[in-house]
Amino acid sequence: MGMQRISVNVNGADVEARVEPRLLLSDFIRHDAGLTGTHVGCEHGVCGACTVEVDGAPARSCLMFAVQVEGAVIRTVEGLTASAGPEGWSVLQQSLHEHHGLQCGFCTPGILMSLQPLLTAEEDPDETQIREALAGNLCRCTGYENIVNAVMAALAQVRSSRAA
Amino acid sequence: MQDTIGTLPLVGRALGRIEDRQLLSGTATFLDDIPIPGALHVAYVRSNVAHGTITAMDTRAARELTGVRAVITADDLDHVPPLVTPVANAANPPRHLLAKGVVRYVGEPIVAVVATSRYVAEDAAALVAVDIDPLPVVCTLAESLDPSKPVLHAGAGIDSNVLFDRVLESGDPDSAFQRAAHVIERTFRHSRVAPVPMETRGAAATIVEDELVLWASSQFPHALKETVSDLLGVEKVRVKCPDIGGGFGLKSLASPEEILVAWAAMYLNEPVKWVEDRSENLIASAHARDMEVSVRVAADHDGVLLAMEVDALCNTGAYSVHPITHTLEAAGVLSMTPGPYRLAHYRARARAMATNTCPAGPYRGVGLPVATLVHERVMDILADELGFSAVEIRRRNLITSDELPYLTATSQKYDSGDYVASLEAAAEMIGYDSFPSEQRAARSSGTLLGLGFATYVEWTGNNSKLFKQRGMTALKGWDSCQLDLDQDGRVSVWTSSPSIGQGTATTYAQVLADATGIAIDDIDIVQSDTGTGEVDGNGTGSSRSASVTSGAIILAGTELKSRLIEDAAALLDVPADELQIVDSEVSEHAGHERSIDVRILAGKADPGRYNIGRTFEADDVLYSYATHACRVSVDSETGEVDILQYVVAEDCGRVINPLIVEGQTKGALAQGIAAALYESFHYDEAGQPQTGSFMDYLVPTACELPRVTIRHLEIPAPNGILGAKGVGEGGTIAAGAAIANAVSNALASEHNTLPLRPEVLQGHARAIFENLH
Ligand code: FES
Ligand code: FES
Repeated sequence: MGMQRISVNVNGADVEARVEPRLLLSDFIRHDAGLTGTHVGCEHGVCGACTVEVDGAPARSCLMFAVQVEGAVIRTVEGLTASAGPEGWSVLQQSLHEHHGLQCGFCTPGILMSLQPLLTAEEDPDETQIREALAGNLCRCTGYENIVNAVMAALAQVRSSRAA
Repeated sequence: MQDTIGTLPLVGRALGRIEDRQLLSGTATFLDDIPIPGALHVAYVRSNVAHGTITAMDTRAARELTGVRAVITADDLDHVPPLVTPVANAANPPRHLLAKGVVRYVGEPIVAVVATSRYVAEDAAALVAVDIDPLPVVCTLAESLDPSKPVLHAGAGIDSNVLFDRVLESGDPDSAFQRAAHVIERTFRHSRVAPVPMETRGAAATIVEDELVLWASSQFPHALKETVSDLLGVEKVRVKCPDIGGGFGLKSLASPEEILVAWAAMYLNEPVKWVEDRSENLIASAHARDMEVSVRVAADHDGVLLAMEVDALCNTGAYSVHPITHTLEAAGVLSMTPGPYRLAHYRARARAMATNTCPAGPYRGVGLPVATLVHERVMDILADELGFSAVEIRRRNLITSDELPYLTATSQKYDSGDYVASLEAAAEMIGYDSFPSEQRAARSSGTLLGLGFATYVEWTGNNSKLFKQRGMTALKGWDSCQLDLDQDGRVSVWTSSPSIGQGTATTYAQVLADATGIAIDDIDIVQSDTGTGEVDGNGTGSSRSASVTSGAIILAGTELKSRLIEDAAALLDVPADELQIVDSEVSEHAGHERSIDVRILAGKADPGRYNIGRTFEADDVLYSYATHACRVSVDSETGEVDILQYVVAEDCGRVINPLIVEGQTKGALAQGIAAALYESFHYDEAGQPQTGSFMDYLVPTACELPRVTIRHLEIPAPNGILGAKGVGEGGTIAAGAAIANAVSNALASEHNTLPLRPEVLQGHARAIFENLH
């Protein structure tokens, strides 16, 4: 199978690689770029575990080919941690910890990446909207309540630091 | 156990979880994240026919593909015996690692392709041609009992599809039925569900010197190690667990796919790995709860239960699962259908039936979600017939705290607690008293509200005696740990029960810190590895980590503490009974004048002095219980059920970490609600799975699941080492029953089959309003 050259920026670093055109973006991130924080829970676009940011917007990396992101900027959960505060955690990471919003943690990176737009949005989402924003991510362990609580607390914190 | 481990500064506190750091930052290591340079990948060719004879197989094209290293069929495994799980008093069908001659369910592995990448392995798997002559299919319970249908394991000398048939009888049910004022007869059904951990199964094997190292996403690493060792005839096997993305029972199995990975690594002398994909996981891992239970119940004028007769049929699928067996759900229903109620006369029969479907395995609650559906629906049906309230009928029948310990008709010795108190607490939390008027008011404005209860009692921390009683002789019933205090003063702890996501590293660290006085920050709970010390045991499952494995940690921790104090006493010249350990420092009780850091003691000690292993098994089973209650509304047009409020009043004994305990309850509840309202695994008449993706198998999202309010009764278990009872499964056990009761209440009709489908409820909902107008 012919290989194709791609160059992308992943978490701030330029990555050049030769890949098969059929290589999934999720496999590229996990196995070629070695960033195994992005997980694969279904490989058919439902569970959201594989969510990463492509050019600033969340995307399911199991539904894309690596060659589709030629020239793009990608951020994964590892990039989230690197750009976080002194604790090494983003507001949502800290809040998920405090509210026990994760058990096995397999779904957690996908949830973190899916919810970034919500945290930076202008309007204040209510609980229903938060649940809708979460609905693209399956979590089998928590029942979601503690995740919702964590998101609400994180939003409150983001708002108060914006106001300050 | 205040006496054993002194004061408990950490046990009982809602500490944030130690394990979160890596999970949140994406640096955890799950099975597919383990760096194994040069690992080859396995893809399985699976049967696309539910029942048939393999007539021909052509693997040439697959073998010729560049990158393919091996194409393995049953012929290559001639020297490997089939898996046979010993069960007392049951037929034990053999299961070959790869189908040999006959396939018995869609998804059964037939060929394993090993290649340099997952992509190539799947390409090659697609090139394998397997000809299968179809045989008549046995899919449902009725077909399994039908004498005109084939017997699945006739070739192994098993002459019936009934693999397990057991009767329990106690008292004199016949005369109790004769004198009963009321007799009800009903059939309850639970549909087939799949455990669906978000991380699928997987294994990776390497040969390190002369040892076979098998990484596995496993709840039962010791059982897997023994199985691989026995079956493949390898003496040195070491099973290591990475981080595990949920298990829920499924990952307690030693599965053919994992064992084959080990075989392939030895055969090729190269590292080999397999990561299950989601459709394999849904179709071909293990299912649960496909059951039909018919009951007859006798009660007197006062609604007091007199006798119960149970006939339970369990669809156990094509094979027995190792080491849990094919009897577990049947045996669970047999023993636990009397529930938390006083009952003297009982007769029950449970049968586990072979069919051409994916094998049934352990899934959170094992048998008890069905047993609870039965006894709790029975309570409400009796209440309706006799004109009692749902609370009153339970009050009359629940075993009271004065009667505990109570020996049930099925020889369970319920140990402690207050079942009635959990009922009263739930009734108060759900606003039971004001409900009837609210329900009437809502109905007159076109809204159908319902309220339902479910009280259950659950066996946790099961010991070897109980497993034996259930016929599960391959299960150990004990667990163990190994502690090692190193020269830097850090304690590493290995246990036989791997963490599968339920926060056991934090729980164990809290317990050990309190048992020893070592600072919690100096404790490292290491994921399970059978190559460490004398650690051996059952593994994670049946709600046992907090109660049983913690017991082993307390025993080892207590010994470590006494050795540290003994050594410090000699060095400081202070009598041992005047010393304490606080925050990793040994000091005098009074004044703290003389003290020595644990680190210094560790530096001076003889090697092995502070390396301690201990095993624990509960003398008696620890029975947790709870009452769930919920309010629902049923949409009068669509039949959709909305859970408006959900409360749980539970007793899991001493709560080690409230944050974690409540997380377990909420998460377990989510799985119970899922099975009550959404999830159902379907086959068509030909045994073809209809729900092999998340598009068809509906795992609930954040939009479907409610908030939950939990109250702990916290009555310590008298027989546990810490007073803790198991908590991992309780939420799942009662949800189906509570919701079925609430929906039946809302619709003033009986709903005895799970899941509760909107298309069924719709008709009942519309009828109510048609009758009103
Ligand atoms: S793995 Fe991509 S959505 Fe599930
Ligand atoms: S924490 Fe396990 S799947 Fe979400």
